[in-house]
Amino acid sequence: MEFNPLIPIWLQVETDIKLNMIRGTIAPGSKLPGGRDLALQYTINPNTAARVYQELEKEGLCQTRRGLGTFATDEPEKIRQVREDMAKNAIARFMAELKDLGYTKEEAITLLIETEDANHA
Amino acid sequence: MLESKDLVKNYGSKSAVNHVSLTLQPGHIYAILGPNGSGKTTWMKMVTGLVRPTSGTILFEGSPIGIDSRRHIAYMSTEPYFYTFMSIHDVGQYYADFFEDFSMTRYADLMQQMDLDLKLKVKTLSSGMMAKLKVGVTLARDARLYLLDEPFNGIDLLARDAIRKTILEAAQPEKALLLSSHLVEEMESIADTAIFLSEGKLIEMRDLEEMRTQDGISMTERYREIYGKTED
Amino acid sequence: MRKLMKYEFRKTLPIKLLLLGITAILQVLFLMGLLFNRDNLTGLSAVLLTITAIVGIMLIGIQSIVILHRDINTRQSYMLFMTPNSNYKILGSKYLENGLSLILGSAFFYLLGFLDIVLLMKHNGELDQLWRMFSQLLTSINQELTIDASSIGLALLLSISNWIQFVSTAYFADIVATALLTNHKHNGLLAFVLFVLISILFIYLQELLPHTIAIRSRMLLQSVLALILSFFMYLVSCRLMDRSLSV
Repeated sequence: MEFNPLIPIWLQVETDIKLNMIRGTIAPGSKLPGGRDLALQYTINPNTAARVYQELEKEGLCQTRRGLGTFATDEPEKIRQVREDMAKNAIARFMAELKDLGYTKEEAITLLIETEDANHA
Repeated sequence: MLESKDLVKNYGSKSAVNHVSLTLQPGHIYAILGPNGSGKTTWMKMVTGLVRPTSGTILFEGSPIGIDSRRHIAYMSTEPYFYTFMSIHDVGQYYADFFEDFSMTRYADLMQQMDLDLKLKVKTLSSGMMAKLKVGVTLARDARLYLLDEPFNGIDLLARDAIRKTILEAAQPEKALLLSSHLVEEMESIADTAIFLSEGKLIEMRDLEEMRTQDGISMTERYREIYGKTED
Repeated sequence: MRKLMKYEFRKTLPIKLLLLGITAILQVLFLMGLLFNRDNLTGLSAVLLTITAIVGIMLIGIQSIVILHRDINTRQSYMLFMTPNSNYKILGSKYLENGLSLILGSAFFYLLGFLDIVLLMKHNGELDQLWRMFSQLLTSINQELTIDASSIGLALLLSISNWIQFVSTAYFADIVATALLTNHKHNGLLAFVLFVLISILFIYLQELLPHTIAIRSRMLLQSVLALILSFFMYLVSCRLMDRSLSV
């Protein structure tokens, strides 16, 4: 994975893991790689890897059980929530860009629908 | 784990290391940065015991560095240094003879990963192969402190990825690694603390993620900020 | 220590093998000369063997000096000084390896020379008579000058001690020069100058030994003095390395 060095690395890895959870690549309730294995997988610093799990746990997306490891959440509601949050972020970014170009909200939505319809025709 | 207190090394009137005080803690991977001549190599050599300080002290786990500290500190220099009559296997044997923490099996493993035949003679190696050998033999030691001076120099892209992974494999909570490299970007994701030196002085020591969060800049950008000449 | 010596030995191996090879060839030629009564061949190989012996011992000593120079002045120094060995052990292993090489090398050549002379005399009866005449001549000059086992032994001891002192002085001069001059480029010259100065000093010290005593005793005293000076230089070298050597 290519990292943007301007943004905290733990955040980028956390996002990637969230995406995998949403896509189902990481099955709900499945065992996540240990901190060191995560570090090797993404080629990141082990402390950064530990931070990733800390943050995921704060958001309730994973749980560390002593002696057993870290497990992805098995609550579909949590994953749906994350999916929605990420979608909302994407929308916010989209709207900000279009507003920057001078589009109003209505114009932006109309353009969106037109473009998507044309792409799928 | 390692503390350099007011460390100075003068060569005549020039000060290669100018009152550097810093502490390395276990469980971290440090990137030591600065242009050529900023004192990185001299500092590392003093910690290893290859260069005698002009003044100041260096403590490893509380005691002044000496024969004992060399048992637990693994240093890799930028320049090649093996005896020319040796083969790659002989280099490993030498390390095995003098370093208790050296693992021949790990060494053989690493040599295989890097595509280096144990029977090759050191004097026939290309600079790329020599660079890989140096890194490999150093990381085959189970040391407490690793000092790697330019571990990525002369190594192709794919091998650099492999070496980054090997460095991460060596990183443990009770160990510390210190790397220096001109390829600052290569260390962004694996280092957690940056040490900036300039003209022998310590400029700053920063936690990288904290720097990204608070200042929104990368280690590479900070490097440019510190050392770049601003155009008027 | 054994491990250090293993590698010191390995460093000196090429020249020793070369010497051994040349000696073997010349020895075979010598024997062939005796066997086939080719006096020219015997004479020539005998002379060459003598030269090989003298030059050989010199080379062993000089090689040891060159190796030390390389081991403290080039990047190869990292090999030795990164290891958890004290300077006493590092330098000590070089002294031991070189000392043993000089002793064994000298003994080997003396022994070979002795055997060859015996063979020569047995082969050529006239030489035996010449030899007796020569011995008697020496004894008439000075009662001390007898050629027997103990005097040969003493000569061997003296030559080895002198070589050890030679090498020790060179080691010491090199170490002082490297410790003083941080720029590794010109310390060869300084080392050489120091070497000459110290050697002159030691010759002076040797002269202070009493002249009026028996030759054998004097030889013994000279050997002992040379060895003591060598040991003293070893100790000072180690202290100096501990305090100021940067590689």
